[in-house]
Amino acid sequence: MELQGQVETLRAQGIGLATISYDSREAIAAFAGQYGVTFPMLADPGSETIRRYGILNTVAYEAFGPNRDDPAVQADVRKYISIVGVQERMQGIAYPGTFMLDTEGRVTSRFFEDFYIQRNTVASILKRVGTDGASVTGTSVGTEHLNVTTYPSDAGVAVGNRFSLVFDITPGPGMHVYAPGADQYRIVTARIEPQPYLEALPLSYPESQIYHFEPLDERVRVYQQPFTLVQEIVLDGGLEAQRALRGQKTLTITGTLDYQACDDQICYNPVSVPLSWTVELRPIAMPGPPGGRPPASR
Amino acid sequence: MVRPFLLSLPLAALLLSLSLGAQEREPIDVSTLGPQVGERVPDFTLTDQNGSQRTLQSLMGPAGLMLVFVRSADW
Repeated sequence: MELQGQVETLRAQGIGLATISYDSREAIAAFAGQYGVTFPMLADPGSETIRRYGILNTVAYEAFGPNRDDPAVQADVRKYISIVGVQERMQGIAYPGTFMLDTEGRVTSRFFEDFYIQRNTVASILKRVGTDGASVTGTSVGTEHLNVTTYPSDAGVAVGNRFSLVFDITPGPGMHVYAPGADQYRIVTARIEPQPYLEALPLSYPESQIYHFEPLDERVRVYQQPFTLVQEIVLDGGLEAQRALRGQKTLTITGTLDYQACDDQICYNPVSVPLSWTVELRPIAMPGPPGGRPPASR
Repeated sequence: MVRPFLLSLPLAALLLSLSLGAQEREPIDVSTLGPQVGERVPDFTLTDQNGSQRTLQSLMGPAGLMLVFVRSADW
């Protein structure tokens, strides 16, 4: 049972683990006994907590309602229930997903994707040493085409700093994604959600490989081997930014990793993986000159 | 020439619904549902597999909590 295998890793990092589902306590107890589950599995029969979280899967109700034949509803059944169809006993389930919470219960990251994205977010919490010597937390998401592990370069930043978001990407077996130059395809890119005082610089790409698709005699730039993208971010250091961010303890950045993957037979639909990063916001050590401090040197 | 795409099911469904003149239902975007990054999640008191009552705070580790909603432990 995948979550059980990760309990010790999470405990070592001081992170608790719990699941919630609409099952009865009896059903959960049977499952937990069978798989030797040591973390809390919480029962929410009647889905009252699931509803209060706003993540009740409404598609399971629509599939039996007056617009059940609406192709848009049927498409969402395939996307959010299962490809083989829906049963009435599924009514009350939550959309599956994970919230990473701080000790105040605030969301620091969340993973709620369509069914075709595997949620191996438990395997995902990892620590690296950032460039400022402190340990940073990264997250890892697996899709059916690739695995991406992403982390900020620094655990904490101050206004005026430049830092990076790093994406270590490993295409799955037989898969490749498109690199700059492959203009007929969705080139792999990171999209950062705009927010005040934050500037995302152009993404930095490594050298790509040429892929020869023999049936069409097509040569195109791809990444097949593991590769790393670096997204540099600049936090404005001007007086307005200093005033606006004073007292704020953390900075959360959200965005997506967008790509298109193909294997040697077919191309898959473009995918957009939602991601987020949280860094500490540190006060600047001393008052800066008018116009703010220069970016920290590397 | 670009290789054949696996036509996405939602796209096919949308095209079909437009051609039938059906009233367009908004597609669901799970990323917009539930507490967003930076928001506090609702408190709760739920029973675990051993019959113990657990609150959100009681599940917290010193560095936080990973709270996972699963479809079912039963199927």
